Amino acid sequence: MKILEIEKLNMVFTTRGLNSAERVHVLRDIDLEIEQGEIMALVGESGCGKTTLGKIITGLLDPTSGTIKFNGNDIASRNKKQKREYRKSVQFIQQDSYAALNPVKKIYSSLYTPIKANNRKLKRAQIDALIVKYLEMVGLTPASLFLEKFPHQLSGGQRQRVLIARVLSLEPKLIVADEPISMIDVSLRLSILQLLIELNQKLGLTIVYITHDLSTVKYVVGEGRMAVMYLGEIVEYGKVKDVILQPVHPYTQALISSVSIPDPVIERNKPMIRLKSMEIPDIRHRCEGCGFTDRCLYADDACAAWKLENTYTEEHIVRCKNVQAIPPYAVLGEEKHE
Amino acid sequence: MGQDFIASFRNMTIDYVMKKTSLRAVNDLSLDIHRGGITAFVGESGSGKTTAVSALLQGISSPGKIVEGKVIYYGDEGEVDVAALKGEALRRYRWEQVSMVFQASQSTLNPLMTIYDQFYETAYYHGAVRSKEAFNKRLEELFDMVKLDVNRVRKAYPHQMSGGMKQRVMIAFALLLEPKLVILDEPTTALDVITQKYIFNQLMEINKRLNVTFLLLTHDIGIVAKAADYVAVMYAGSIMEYADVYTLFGKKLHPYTRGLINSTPSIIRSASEISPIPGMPPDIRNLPEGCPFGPRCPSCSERCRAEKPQLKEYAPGHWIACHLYGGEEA
Repeated sequence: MKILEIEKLNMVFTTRGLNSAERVHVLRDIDLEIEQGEIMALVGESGCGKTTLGKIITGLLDPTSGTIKFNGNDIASRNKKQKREYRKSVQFIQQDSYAALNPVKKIYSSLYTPIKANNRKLKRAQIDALIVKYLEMVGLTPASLFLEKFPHQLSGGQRQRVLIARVLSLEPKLIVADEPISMIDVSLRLSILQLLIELNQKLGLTIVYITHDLSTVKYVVGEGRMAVMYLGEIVEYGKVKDVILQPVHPYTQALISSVSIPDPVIERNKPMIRLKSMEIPDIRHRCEGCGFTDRCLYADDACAAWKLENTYTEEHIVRCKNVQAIPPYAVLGEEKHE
Repeated sequence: MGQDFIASFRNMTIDYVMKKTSLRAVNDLSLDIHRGGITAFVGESGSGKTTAVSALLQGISSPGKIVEGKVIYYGDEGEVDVAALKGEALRRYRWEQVSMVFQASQSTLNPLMTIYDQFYETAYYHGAVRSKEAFNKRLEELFDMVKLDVNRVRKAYPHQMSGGMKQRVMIAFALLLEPKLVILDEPTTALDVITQKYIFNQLMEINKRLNVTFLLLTHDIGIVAKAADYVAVMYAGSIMEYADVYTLFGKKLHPYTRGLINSTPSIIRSASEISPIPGMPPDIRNLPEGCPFGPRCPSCSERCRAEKPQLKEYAPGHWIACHLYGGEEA
């Protein structure tokens, strides 16, 4: 069953300069379906719109156009009660755990407030029990050690766990995790990712994992699917093993070939992908057609004016006009190195 | 010595001395740095890599202090004891012999000066400006090396450039006075993947072409696999293993090295091939008596708990600090 269906979603921000208003088209015709209980990765470099899309999914931003269906219902036509329900069911884990927690509140009250706000009838003791339950669920044991702490007294990894506990306390169906590990110590990253995977497996939570770090995608998503974004578009979408091992879109190929592999023999012998330019163009000056035109080795004159559409196969979607002409790329060459 | 190596750490111990306690950030570190090539120091945050290497520039910030041992730089005029340099000699040594690209170096550029002025100032005070023409030519050369358009960059202020461009400016800056040794402290941490790879390709090319030595500090195993020739693995202020990159990754002898490599996610590894290192990162205020990695090590024995293993040459050019290797003698 599909928990979320996004169709033809567009987002335009209007910024005000000193004497002019500027329209920036940050998301273009996004189509995305998320199955109940899957972990899906949303991957892209800074400025590609992945966080904006995450905020739209969680209802923190309203899209300019397009439809979003949650459990089959269009969320634009929901009434106040449904809106509240949606806000509760879809939760967002922020990147910067320090900024996401009120610095003058103890962990206890950071967790108490959202539970109380959503369960008016619960007694204090019941809420306390819930807080302990969720803190222990995310590995903060014993919970009593953490209740009276302020955010600055915890490590980055612990704060991230508090954020996850807070989100879980609302019993969401879908969690959008925006770069949950980018600000914590390297050696603790894996354990936070493990926690997310565990929540998915134990509670059946659907998770959208937003990241710029491709190395972690396969670890988190496993056999699931991923979407690669570039300048406001999803340029490639499909099963992780297809997208990573046989990327088709020239941008995905360049991205995958740039990720370093922790093995000097493979890393130094893998094929390289060249680009015309290293700089990501300014999204304000992006052409109406394929946004990758300026940097793409295979681009022709018609690419910049191409009407964006999805091609390739049903399971592996690629947004490229010349998709048939792009030579294949495989990180490992022919065979898998052991 | 000075032929094969460019610098040596000799039993160097660095403490951060505070009123009540002192922290041992670097513990009895000895290593010879090969001339030419890229030597990587890899370790988690707090492993002491930046503190140790800063000693090469006399750059350990107070209250840090070298309490034992020394750093030697092999210059054209023989051995230099870096800690003994003073005044004008130190000023010239820094940047002319050894320079550094700092972590988040994008914020080390002066926001109120154009790139050209910043380069000119540095070159001028080091007496490296013979004529305007020669200097301009040098700028062109430098920016060409890092693939920046000199006409676009020279009159620009830092805020007019992207993060990747600023990072490349900083690399060019570090090369301005033709140093023999350049320290690169997490040079690409804040950058996007494609830019990151591109900058490293340029660095590797520069390294070969100019025959300058790079010391690369990083926590990223992937980058070590990509760029380094020699690798020193650091943990809690000590070197755990040192070898050339192929031996290190190929053999994975030291349990910490193995843990570090096996815990690194990669696009070609599935979840079952990745296992985290158990336990918590070390607290350098409270290190165990024996091997600092002992509490997290799967092969920890009685001896490891009692006695700290010394860094010993296990095979030519391959040094390990672990009781599992190196015979019986301590």
